[in-house]
Amino acid sequence: MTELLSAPMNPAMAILVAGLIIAALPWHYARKAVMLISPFVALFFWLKMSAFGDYAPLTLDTLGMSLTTFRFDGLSRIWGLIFIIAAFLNALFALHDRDRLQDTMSVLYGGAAMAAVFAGDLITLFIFWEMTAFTSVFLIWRTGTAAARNAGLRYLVMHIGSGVLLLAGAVLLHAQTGSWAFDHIGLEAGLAGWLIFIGFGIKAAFPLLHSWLQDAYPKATITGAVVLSAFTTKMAIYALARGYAGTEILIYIGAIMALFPVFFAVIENDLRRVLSFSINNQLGFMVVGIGIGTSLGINGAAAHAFADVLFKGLLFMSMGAVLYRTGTTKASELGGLFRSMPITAFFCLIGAGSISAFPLMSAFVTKALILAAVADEGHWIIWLILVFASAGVLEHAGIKIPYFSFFAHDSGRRVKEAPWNMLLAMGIAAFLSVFIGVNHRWLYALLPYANDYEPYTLGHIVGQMQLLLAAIFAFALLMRIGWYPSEKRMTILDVDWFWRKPGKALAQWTYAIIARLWAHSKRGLLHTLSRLSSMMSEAFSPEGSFSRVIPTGALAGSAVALLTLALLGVYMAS
Amino acid sequence: MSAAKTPSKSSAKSSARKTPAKKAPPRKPAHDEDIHPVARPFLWLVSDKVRKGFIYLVGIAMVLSIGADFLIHRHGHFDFETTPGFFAFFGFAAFAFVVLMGWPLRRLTGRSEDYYPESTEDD
Repeated sequence: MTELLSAPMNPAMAILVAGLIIAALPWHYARKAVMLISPFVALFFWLKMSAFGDYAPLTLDTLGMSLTTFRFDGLSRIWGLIFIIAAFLNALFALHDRDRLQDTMSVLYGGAAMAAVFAGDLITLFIFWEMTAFTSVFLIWRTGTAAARNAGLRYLVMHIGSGVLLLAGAVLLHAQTGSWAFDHIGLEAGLAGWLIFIGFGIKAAFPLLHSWLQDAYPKATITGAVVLSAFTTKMAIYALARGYAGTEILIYIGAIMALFPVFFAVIENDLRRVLSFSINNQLGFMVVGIGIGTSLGINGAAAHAFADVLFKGLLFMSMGAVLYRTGTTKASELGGLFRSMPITAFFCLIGAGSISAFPLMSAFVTKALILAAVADEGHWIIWLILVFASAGVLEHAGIKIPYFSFFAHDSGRRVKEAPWNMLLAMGIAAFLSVFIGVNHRWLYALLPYANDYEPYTLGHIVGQMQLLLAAIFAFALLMRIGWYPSEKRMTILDVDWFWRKPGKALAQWTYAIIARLWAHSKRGLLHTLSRLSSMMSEAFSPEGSFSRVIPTGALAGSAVALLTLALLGVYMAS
Repeated sequence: MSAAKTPSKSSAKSSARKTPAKKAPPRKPAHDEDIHPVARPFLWLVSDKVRKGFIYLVGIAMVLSIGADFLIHRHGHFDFETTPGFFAFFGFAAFAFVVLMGWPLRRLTGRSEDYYPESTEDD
């Protein structure tokens, strides 16, 4: 028994098994109990890991490969922990939800993401990589609207495609190196390296591959969006940190990712879509850290991913609570909600402060690690871009989200405060966001590399306060003189426009042309066939030469059969 | 209700900022039965005084933070970073640029809400 307890166990297994149990449980409360307890089992497994190493080897003799399903090291440790915390917060937030399918899928999705993080080889990674795609899509589909169905389909296509690229790259890589191990890959691995890079890049929402994020997340269910915000993209960041640390192109990709969403977030009316842009922007910071690739850079990416799961989850939760109570997250329809949802508003402000990097809150520490890593390598333009993007973060996540929903002009909506379970989940996320900001040494101890960066120097605090105060002053000024673009109900186009409008038109045009060509060729064929049949009917007709001895009905039947056969033959041949 | 609101907003773009503030005078909501008890002690936050004074409050805090640059020496990785008031200047310029770019960007990429046919089923 003691041996069993001390044996290393994969925390992801606790969540995955819980997912299967939940799928089979018909009782609402039993399902919720399993959802809430399983993260604690996973946490127990995580806590009792005393040494780094590869565990749970799985040898598939028939395929001639050995898999490492559980690798516990500096990188997977911190990602494993934050996914366990996210699984618990998601379960708590979704406590009121009576939806068996969604419960099952959200738990399996979290478990799959965790299993992918603990995967020591590319095949295990691929399996769970794909599993995150087809479990999470239900969190979008369960909204039930046509828009959600279509967005979910587009989401699924891109994510399955990401997995296919990963598998193709893995097979190529295996041919080159003879190993399935998931270690540093790098672009120097040639085509295999590029395939996996793009596969990871889709899930990390690289520029031009990002549209699924802003398309699908805002259309997910209330709890679905919270769950989605935690796992997929952060799993991709983990994969990049593992396989592509120090890949220079990531610095530039990350800088673009951090930069462009801030412009779109200003004009976007749907606040959950603003948060989706915000995910994209925060991923940019992490990708830059990975591109820098020094121990400080990787530490920064890991720390920021950890903090982001908490504060982005918190912001999505607060907007979820608003959506739950008011039925909308459109900025143009909201305002003044702090009168009826003051506690939600308070937690939302903590999330907003954390993402904007106010001192004593999480991003003040974690983003500073990335900026310091960039500065250490002398990339001053990238550094300026990231500081610029930080002002943009304050604009859309720090001010826009709380201001237009809870303050601004009073929309007159008087609703109930969020349910207690949502408030508790938000409260814990808010507490942890501040806890990390204050006790950064606690987070440092979890990072992959030793870290001695000191964020609380007088200079850093003064500099950051200058940035934030001047940006808030700019907001107040622009509002006062009426230069701030007012919230308007509209659709903001993104790159998915290319396949949703001209792409779709091209597909429709192609289909129409093919249909017409087919109709034309069929007409020609029918013409020939009808001439043939008229010749035949002349011969076989009641007056015809052949009919004298053979019954008409049987002949007509055989003629039709012959015709059908001929048609089928032509169809098959074409 | 959205239909009633939207036209009034678009017709009075410049005064849109002021109209709603007048519609909800600060004292009236205090008697509003539906206001959450936790929110009641904080209603002064949205009073006209605070709304109008906010910009001065932030402005003064900003000036103080710039002033601190002359008292302490900020260490920076780059030379330009240590210029007094660098972060304030950069933060203001970046924020204003991001917001003002919203106007042309919205002209370029903004479409009606039912631009994609499937989206009409929403809400």
